[in-house]
Amino acid sequence: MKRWLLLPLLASVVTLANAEGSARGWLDQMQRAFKTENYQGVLIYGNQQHWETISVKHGTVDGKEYEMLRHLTGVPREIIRSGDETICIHPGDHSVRLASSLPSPLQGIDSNADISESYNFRFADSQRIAGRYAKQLFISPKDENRYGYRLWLDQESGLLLRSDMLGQAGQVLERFQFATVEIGIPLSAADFVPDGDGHPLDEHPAFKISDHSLDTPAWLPQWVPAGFVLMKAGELIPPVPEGADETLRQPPMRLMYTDGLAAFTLFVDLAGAEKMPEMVSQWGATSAAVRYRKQGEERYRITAVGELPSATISRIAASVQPAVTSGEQSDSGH
Amino acid sequence: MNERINESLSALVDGETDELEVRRLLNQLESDDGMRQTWHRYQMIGALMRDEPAVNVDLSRGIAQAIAGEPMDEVSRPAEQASSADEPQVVEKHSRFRWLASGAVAATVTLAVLVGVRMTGNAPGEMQMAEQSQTVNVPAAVVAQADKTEQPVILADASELSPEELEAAQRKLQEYVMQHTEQAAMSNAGGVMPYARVVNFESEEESR
Repeated sequence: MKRWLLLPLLASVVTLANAEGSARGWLDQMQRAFKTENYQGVLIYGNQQHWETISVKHGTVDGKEYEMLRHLTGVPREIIRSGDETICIHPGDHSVRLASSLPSPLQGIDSNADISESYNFRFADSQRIAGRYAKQLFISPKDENRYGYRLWLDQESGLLLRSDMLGQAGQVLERFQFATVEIGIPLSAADFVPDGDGHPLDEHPAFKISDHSLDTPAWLPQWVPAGFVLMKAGELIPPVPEGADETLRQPPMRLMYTDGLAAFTLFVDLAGAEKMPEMVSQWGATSAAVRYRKQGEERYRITAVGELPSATISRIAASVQPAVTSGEQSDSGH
Repeated sequence: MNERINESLSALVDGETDELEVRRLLNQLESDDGMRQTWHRYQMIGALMRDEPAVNVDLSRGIAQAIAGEPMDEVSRPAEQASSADEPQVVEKHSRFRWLASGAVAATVTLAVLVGVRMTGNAPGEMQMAEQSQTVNVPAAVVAQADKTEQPVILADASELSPEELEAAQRKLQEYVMQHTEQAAMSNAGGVMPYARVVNFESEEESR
């Protein structure tokens, strides 16, 4: 609201506000394009040290959304999503799974959030990516608690053609980029059939993680960076596949926060006698922190995970406290 | 062998190197006999200067084993004895990783490296990698961020953990990371194209 008062005074703020509005429009368009466009291409994903090449196919057939990701480097593996169903295909029979639903570079993107509170926006000249003209959008954080982005959005469809996630020194933490892409092509359900390609591939059903929402979370962080709001609070229903990790027995409480672009998740669960080091770790854009807290007789583990600087993730995790003073934690899992 | 490497080796012995450097050195130690000897010499000198019994254990091997996911043998024992020694509980944030030069710290190094690596490993590719080569398999993502002077792995009481416990801890954390990415992707109304952060859980590695 305050911005409105200042608007007439500062011409630069006017342009900034326009950029914000327009950026919002482009980001919304980007999301729509991801969901509704038919496209097919090859993208590279990684950082300066390591790249993966992935072929991607996405389309809507008879109102159902299909998506297929196939890793072209490393161990052959595919992820196929049709509607709500996800199938992961990879060799071997490890109980370890692949992430069934792969994240966007913009983890917490949320159309309703006021992202201008936390980020500045600036458009730059169009560039060519994957043979198409792409609008460049710089998104820079207003504080040190989040990362910046540089996005290249297809001029015609708004599809994200390239994304750089930028650390505080401007270094690229993660990049993905289409090498080649076709947009608006016809696709049928037959285009999303697993391709064994002569390799022995086993199908691994993806974990289904559902949660019932909690109105009053038993634990809450006392500090989150400005602009982050609680998006979802729930208890995970533990997956029970064969060979499931026994540490998954207790459903952890989960809180998900977003500032409109970035997201982090807090997990709180009973630690029991389990030993796990308190730690802060970061790889690529993802940071994680593990802390312990005693509540009554029980020892709880607090885990924060998100695409935020590790110092921020660590501070969030350290701030988590029981939301109620009583020792009864009816919804912290049994 | 160039002077910089010697300096790095010395820093490693003195506990003044960061994780990235540890990994680099390990890579080189493996392939360079002369360097390995220098490393042992430095370890001995360090031990003598601190009036400790000279450690006759190749710490680098333990670290490499840990990285390769092999059971740690001779290294874990001196480490356990020493872990009773006073050690800072948590390495200070934002500071460069500071290893203390002692057996206890060797364990910390080992376990820190383990934490960092296993956490990002464990995807289907890993087993094959472990079998297929002796080379130190450093997840690129970790290296990349360490390159950028972001802090790598900080850990507290990991030296009290057995490799099994540590592995369980890593599995747990990895599970959380996966849930985070999945849920974040899903709550975008499934609309945002799910991309490929899974790369971080692969230990596929270009040879370097």
